[in-house]
Amino acid sequence: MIRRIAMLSLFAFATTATAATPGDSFVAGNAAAATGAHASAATAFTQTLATRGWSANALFDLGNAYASNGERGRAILAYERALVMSPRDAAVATNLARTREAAGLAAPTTSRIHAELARVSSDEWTWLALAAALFAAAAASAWAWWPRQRGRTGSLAALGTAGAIFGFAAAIMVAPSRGTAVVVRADSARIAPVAGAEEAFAATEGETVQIEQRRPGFVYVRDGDRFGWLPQSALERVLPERAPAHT
Amino acid sequence: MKRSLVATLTVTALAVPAFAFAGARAELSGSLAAGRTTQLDVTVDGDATQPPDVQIPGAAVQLSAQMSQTSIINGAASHQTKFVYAVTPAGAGALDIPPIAVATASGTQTTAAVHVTVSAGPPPGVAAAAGAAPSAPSSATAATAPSGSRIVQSSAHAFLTLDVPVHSLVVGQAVPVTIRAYFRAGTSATLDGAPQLTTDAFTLSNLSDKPAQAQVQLRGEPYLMATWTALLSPAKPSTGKLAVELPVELAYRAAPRRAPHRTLRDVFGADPFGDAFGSDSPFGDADPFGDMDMDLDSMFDIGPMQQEQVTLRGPTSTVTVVEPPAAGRPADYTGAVGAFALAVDPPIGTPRVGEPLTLAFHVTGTGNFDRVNGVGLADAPGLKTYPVKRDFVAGKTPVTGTQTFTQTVVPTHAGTVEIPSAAFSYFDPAKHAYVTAHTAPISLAVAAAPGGGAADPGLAASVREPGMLPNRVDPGDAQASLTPRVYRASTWFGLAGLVLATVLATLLAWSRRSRRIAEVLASRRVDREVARATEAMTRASGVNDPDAFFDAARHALQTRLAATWHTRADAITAHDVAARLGPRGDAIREVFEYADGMAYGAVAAEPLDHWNDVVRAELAHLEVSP
Repeated sequence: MIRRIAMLSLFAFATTATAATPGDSFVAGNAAAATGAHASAATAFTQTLATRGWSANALFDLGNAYASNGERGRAILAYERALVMSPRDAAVATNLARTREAAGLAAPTTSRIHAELARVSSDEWTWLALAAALFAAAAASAWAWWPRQRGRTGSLAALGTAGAIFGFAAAIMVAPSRGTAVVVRADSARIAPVAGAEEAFAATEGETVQIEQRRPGFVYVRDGDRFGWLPQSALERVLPERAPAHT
Repeated sequence: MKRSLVATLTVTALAVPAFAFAGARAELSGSLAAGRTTQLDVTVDGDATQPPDVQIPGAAVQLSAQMSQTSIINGAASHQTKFVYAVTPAGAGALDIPPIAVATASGTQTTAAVHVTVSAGPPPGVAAAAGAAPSAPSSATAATAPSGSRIVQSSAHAFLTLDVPVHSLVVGQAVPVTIRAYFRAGTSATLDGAPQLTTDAFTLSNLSDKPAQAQVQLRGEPYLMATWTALLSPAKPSTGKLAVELPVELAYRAAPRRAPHRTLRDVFGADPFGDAFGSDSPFGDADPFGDMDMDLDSMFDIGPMQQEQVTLRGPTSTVTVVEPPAAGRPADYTGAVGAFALAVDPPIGTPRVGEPLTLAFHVTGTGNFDRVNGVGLADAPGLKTYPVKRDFVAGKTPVTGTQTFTQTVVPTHAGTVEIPSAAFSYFDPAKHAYVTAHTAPISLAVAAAPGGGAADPGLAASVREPGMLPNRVDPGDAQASLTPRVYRASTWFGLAGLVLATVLATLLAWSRRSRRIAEVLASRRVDREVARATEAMTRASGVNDPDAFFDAARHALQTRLAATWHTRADAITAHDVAARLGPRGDAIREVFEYADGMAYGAVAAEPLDHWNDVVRAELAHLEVSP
């Protein structure tokens, strides 16, 4: 019974590990990229994401294809998404930095604490927090069941609880906010959600903004001290609302 | 542009009375002239913590200082408080200083009114010259700065120094230097700029933004010391003078015009305590004030306020600068001068074809890190390299630290790939020779690319932007959602389930471990058992079944007694009842005996209803008082 539960748990939490096989879209994407057909490569890698699910390597290759095709906004979006899954990936960070540099965008400034915490992904922090919570729960139960060990078990329970709180706080801190979006097409942010409204600022392709409000066809975004309404089609969220099949 | 105000120091509580007096007194330190500031002293006996509000019609008045002084003359101590005001008459003519009331600990003291005549003020230039004359710097003016301010090497109010640790340098070398400006107590200084060198043969970098300030004593006088640190770098070969300048605006009170110069000896005579202690002086033959030949007037700084813009110039140092020798100069030399060490962090993880690896080269040491360049690798067989990124972490001093060069490399074929040695050349001024540091080559066992994809042909062409890393041939692990788990409801439901399970486990343990709860639960179990037995008694009584009735009655009584006696219910016998309850348990014992005798045909004399009442009464009695 325990073995069955363990197997079910593994299936519930495991990611899908698949290898490229000749004839699939990933191989086709790389083949296209090798010949310089970057638009075809981007289409193939998008298809890979739709069929296999989100993969850091596929997102990285997709970012490369977009960057080589001159679509720097979409390239930055793909790299950002790859970093959500694999924050310590130096290649992704390198290409993201190069693409931002080529697009004339400054690297985002983050605090030192955030930078240190971001060496571990949000999911990894979540797992650490859950492990700490499990540890705290076990210690709390032991505290209740073995009164003679209450000093030690109480300390362990407090330690586990503190670890869980810290882990969840770090997971939230390093995860991109749900409103974080990348401008995939340069456009004018306007002072009102209508096409003819006065321009508030010019949104650069690849710029990262925060979505604060939504109206039909428009979103109200903030980029530092700049605010304005952008057409919804001009940007995409880093954390997509839909499965990759629809992107 | 004006910099921050350095400081104004005021020397207080050092005063020695010239003579004793009684009551409050207002005194002007000199004659009054229109537009010129003169000092007004208001002195009272005793302590006065609040300065009086002095208002003089026709003159601007500003409180400058507050002093207190205690004097002991022939064993009698007296204490005075002095308030010093700056008075600037608006125009010529009569000026009335009204009586000034000063609140002291012993009551309010009031000065007498003062009536003076204000003369017409001299022309500004004349006034400044006249004012500057008494306290002119000890060193004569050397030149006039471009801004029009005087250049002075030192004065009675401020001077500047430059500490250079070595006097023989190499072009490009960086040495830490310290610049110190000293301002005499009572001098207010406003910086008109940062310290700068008098020659273009050197550059001054990393100059501290704000000087560190400290109070120091120089030759017995208090000074405010402002200290800057910076890096001095020779820009070209030279053998010349090096000095530093600091534009500053000084404001100070000129020495008073009164004469003559008075000292402690003048005030007290040869030995102020000579008479007090007679021939048995506690100091023996030594004179305790022998070294205190100080200028009392200067301690008060009671002259008119002077203000001037000057450029302080420190003493000149001679520094010889030479070029690093051309002979033996390595090809990769980039101008670094100092003492450095080079190290490399080997890449972490399993190298695979097409997978980027990060190499970190660390140059650590002392020297001009801005010229530490060129550390990294070029493409090598089986290795594609990418541009280097640099990051500097400063050490404890401006010339120490670690410059890290991070370079991404990608193995392009499987098998053994060697990361070649990296080199870095610098000029060591201590050895007066070039030194080239090397890293050791690193041998990598590169695994084949996963997924069966060929690496090299597709890699390089998959990116067009320079400096970008090529595609990967393995799609890697995939997951259904990109949303971080911390945003998913399942995570929080799982955590809530964990918390709930912990709470339940804790409650369960608590209920099991709590003696009171255990007693309540046991009591409830006994009550339920007794209730079931009495119901059986009632049923047996209804059908007139004495066997069943007495059996149930005995069980009910055994259960109740067992709870009290903490023993097994079925082990309690009529004998136990008689032994432990005595005559009080006769009815119970009788029930037990009937129950035992029923098997042998015993017959109860009374009807079952009677025994039903007896048993219930005994059960109730046992429950209340076991």
